[in-house]
Amino acid sequence: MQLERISLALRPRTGHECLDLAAAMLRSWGGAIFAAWAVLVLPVCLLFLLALDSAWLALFLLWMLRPLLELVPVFVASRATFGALPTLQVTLRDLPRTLLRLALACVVRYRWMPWRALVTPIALLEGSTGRKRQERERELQTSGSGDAVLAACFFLALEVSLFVQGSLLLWFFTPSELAPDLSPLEDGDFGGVQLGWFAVAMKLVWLASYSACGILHALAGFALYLNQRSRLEGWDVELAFRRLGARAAQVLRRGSVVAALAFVLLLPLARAQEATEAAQPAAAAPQQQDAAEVARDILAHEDFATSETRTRFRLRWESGPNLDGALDLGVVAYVLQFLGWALLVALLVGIVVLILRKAGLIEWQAVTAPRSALPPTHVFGLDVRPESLPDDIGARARELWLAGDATGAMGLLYRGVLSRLIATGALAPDPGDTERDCVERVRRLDRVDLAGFFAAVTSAWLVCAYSRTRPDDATALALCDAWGQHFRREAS
Amino acid sequence: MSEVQVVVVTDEELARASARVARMREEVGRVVIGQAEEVEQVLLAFLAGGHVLIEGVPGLGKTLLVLALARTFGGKFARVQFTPDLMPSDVTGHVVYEGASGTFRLRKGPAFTNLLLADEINRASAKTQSALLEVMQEGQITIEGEATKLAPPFMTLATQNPIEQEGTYPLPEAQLDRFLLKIVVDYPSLDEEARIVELVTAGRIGGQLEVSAVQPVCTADEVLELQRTVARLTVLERVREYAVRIVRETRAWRGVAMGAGPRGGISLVRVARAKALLEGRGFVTPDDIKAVALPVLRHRLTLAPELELEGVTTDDVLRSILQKVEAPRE
Repeated sequence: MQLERISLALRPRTGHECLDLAAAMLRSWGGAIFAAWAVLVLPVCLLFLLALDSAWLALFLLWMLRPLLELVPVFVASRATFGALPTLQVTLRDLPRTLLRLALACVVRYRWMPWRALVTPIALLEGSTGRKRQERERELQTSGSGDAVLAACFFLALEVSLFVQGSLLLWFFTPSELAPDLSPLEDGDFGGVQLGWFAVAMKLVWLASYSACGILHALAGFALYLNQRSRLEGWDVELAFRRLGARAAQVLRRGSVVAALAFVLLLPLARAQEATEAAQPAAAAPQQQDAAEVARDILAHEDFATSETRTRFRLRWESGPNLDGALDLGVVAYVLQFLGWALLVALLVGIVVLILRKAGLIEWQAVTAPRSALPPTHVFGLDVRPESLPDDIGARARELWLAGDATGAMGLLYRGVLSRLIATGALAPDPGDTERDCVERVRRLDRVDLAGFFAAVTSAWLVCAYSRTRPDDATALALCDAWGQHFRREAS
Repeated sequence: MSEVQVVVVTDEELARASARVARMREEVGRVVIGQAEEVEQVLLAFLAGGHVLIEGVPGLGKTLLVLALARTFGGKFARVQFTPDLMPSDVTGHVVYEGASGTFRLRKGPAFTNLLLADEINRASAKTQSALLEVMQEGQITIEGEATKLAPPFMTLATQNPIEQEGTYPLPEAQLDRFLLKIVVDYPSLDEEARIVELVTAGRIGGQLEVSAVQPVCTADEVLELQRTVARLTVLERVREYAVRIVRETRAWRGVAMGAGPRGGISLVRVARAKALLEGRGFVTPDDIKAVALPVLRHRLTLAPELELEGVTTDDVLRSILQKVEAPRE
């Protein structure tokens, strides 16, 4: 690393000033950064977003790859910082190898660090590995991780905000005839909404918001990294000394001729002076002693004796006062780390369940739990508890019919079918459902024979219930007999 | 509450009426392509002896529908284009003095017909609208103090353009309530529209409406018999109560400034009866009530401005109400 080639003004900065520095970097080298981003990152994002059917899976995979993708702007900015702004060809030649080298570390390790923007430049620029790299990371994190976590939270919030606003803007300006149909949401059918082209547009809006915030986040992390190194290694002081040295050398070069003339002219005078000093050897020692006393006097002056008392709250487990003004967010970082792990576990469990369900190893009913743990006992005022019904409903209905109780017989059959369907979770009627609505719900179960039987029972029940007449004997008795065919088989 | 005793419709009567209605629907369907739901709703209103308000942009076959319906029973048809300068007498008729005989003679207006198409009713002044609505309600026209009964069956089909609101006189709620149904006519599907274009342009000159394919299947008297049959279909108390509960819920629903009045419940039951006949049943089920609730009630509700601003329609509100109100069971 050639510090003298650095193109930034190095000085100790606060976290906010580091964000300003990141914005300044983007303004200065935006062309190269965006070009590299467009060539290396956008195709990957588009591939995931458009090729995968599940938007959630695509977003999850991209979320995992973020630390890797965000190395692209850091690479360009780091080269530019040391005076070698890379062309797109150079970036394409040098960066892919580096990205491949760091891919595993980014996904496995840096993904779970909220302050990753601060430490990923170590892996990218310093080339250290293993324990040495971890020690370097710990050094930089000592007082810089808080700012890095804040920056991560800020840019995440900004990204979400931009995405929501962009999507809403898109929605508001979409003509109603082109807008997706959200009516299934009214029935709670989230799977029934077909967003169509709007889903693709929303993905592009997200990509735009990520491109804006991801690049700035990565550059902010790089700025914090430079700042930490300046603090810890005194880069700014070293540069100041180097500048002083260079200036002194320049002065010396210009004054060399004058010095030579002076040497020739003043040589006799110097010799005379030497002779005089040789004659008074003891005079220099007291002068050195005087200088030490003068220094003590100066330090004893009231300007150097000023004391200042600062008061601040500190947590009990903090070892000592932290007066450097930096906000220590170590606890927040641990909480975020825990949340990150919890999210990962939940996502992995979700993916496993999804795969098992797709493979048919888990029944749909097991994943989408029924609306309540226990089936309802009364529906539409009808008692649908299995214990309220006879064992052989078909036979009992037949007896009632032959005894002349048509309404009782058809009512029992209808209640029996409802009871069985509700008990098995196949039917969950709403309060406002009519008989035809129930028939329609059963028809949607794709069990043709059962749907036909239920429709026939409902028709017979409607005649008995609302017309004060009765269906013909053949129809009713056929339904009583058909009960056993349908529900005995169901039971087995 | 006791059941109202009516003469029960016999199976033979029901079968005959049902077959006749099916023929009428079939005949209308020969010239009116698609729009099965709208045709059914017009038939429901006709069978229930009510009037309909049709909302839709011009050119969707409203006149053709009325012409075809009139032809199915050999009835008379008249059409009035409502304009701001239309006078009540232009609709109902007036008395003229005949110099030769020295007497006054009644010149009947277009309202003296069986099916009256009142095109763009909201373009006429409130005075003319009121004159027509009186005809609809009373079934008679009073001119110079003399009341003249209209020959039944009489039905008014009034249309409104939902887009052009400038220079119109919106019907007040009390007058809207007189319409049995409000039918919203939408554009036909691609296939239907292609068939319409083919049918209207094949070997014809100009854009004349052609209903010669429709054959009369009954007489005006038989239509009256159909209406009487509909009125006698069985409606149990709990089904009537279901209709009333729906109507009452419209008054209590949040966001509804004014719900449906008692005429809403009456209309629900009347149209549900016609629906039952159309399906060949001699009794009304809650399904019939639910199926006709939207066209019967949508013009009887006034939404609060907040809901209208949010883009909620009366149909949305009614669907929510139907989902909430429990259907009756024994």
